[in-house]
Amino acid sequence: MTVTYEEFADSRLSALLRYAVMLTGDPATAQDLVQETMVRVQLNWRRVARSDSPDGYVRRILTNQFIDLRRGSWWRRVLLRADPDPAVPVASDHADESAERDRMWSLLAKLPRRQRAALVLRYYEDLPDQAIADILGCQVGTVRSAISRGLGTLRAELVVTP
Amino acid sequence: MSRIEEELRATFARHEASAPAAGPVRTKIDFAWVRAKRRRAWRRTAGVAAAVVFAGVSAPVVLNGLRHGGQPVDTPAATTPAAQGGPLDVLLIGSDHRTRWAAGDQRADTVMIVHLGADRRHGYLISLPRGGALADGERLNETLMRGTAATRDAVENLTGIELDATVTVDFRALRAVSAAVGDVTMCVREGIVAHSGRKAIPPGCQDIGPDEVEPLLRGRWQLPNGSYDRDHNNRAYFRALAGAVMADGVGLSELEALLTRAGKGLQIDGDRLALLRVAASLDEPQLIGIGVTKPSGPEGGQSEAIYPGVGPSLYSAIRDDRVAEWAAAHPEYVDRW
Repeated sequence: MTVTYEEFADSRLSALLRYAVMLTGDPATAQDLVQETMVRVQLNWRRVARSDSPDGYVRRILTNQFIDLRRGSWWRRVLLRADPDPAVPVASDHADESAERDRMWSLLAKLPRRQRAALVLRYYEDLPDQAIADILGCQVGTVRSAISRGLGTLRAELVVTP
Repeated sequence: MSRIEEELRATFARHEASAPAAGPVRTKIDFAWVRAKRRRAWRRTAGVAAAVVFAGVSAPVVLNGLRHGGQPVDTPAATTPAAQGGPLDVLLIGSDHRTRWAAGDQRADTVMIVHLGADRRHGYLISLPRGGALADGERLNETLMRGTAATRDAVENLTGIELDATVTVDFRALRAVSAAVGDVTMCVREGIVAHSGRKAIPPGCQDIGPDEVEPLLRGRWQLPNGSYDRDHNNRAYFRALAGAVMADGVGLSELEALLTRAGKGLQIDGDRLALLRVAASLDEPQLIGIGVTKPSGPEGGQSEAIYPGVGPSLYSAIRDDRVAEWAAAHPEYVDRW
């Protein structure tokens, strides 16, 4: 019994939106990304439903859109709009203290997209290397080096500007 | 865990709350989906028209970038038997033409007669072997170098069938059709090896999309019966394609609009109006593939015969719209999958 699109959207949409926020760093961009992805997913739902892991398949589409389509139309618009200040401050009840704490968030925005995706998949989604490699469409070794390079950059930045 | 990793986790966790609520996003997706479906419905209509052609039921292919040149031939009125409810015979030519090649440099990879019975309930895709020798010794696929009319004349001389139209498509066209229609499910009996930069197609039932169409329809290397197996794959794909889209139906006005937009992208020779009327009136006919399964002699030889022995009876069955009878009497030529 394959899952229907409706069932999938009901159960997975929230998680996909959270994942997209972690990737893009911005709720509005995340929403665009998820929307674009889900329309695409619906167009190809038979193929998605028949895959071993529909959730993994959709994550792969979403992640690829995030990483690869930056030269494409809508993503370019989003990027150009966001470009002057890639670090979007998060809405918070504790704006003063989050300003300091959100340095990490701002630094993430400066990482190459693939590294950021790898970090999100590891430290937010808690996925093992192999699953991350499947989503990013690369070797396990590439995942490990992306994560360690990403962490290295963050560490260096945090040390330099305490 | 290092401090940096902990901070990273904490940062992500803190920002979870900023994720948009699913409900409103779901609504927006549904709206976007409706718009996407409308766009697709239009493209799909183009795909339907194309599939209808392939399925032997006629009508134009609307695709950008076709380079066969030449506008569709206009004929003023629907006067053919097909337009008046008689059987319809369309010659479908799959050209191997490339834009970078000179205009005359093309051969036919696929030559198929598509016969739609007067009852409109059955359509037959009848392959003619591309390497088949004609009366004058010329190979069937080479006639296309002299233009589609030459191929049509060759087929008419061979079979005595008066063709209502000739439709010529190349692989870019097929790719575009496939993209418009979406994946179709088809079962491939013999896997196709990667060849000439085209990817391999594994055996088994699978979704055929734009990336798979050309490898599937061109592949003949290492197939047990070479181009005969390829002809079979072509018939099976066109049947699957037509089956996938004909359920949607297509109206006369949509087809006419497509034709208007077709411009130079289309090569269809024949009575367009008759084709349109027939195409618009169709209600998912059953499609049956007919072809030779094994070469009669060494493939590539000049002596390859076309339907050796049974040719005359097949051609007269097509002319008299008795293909069902012929197929029943010659089950070995009828596709089983």
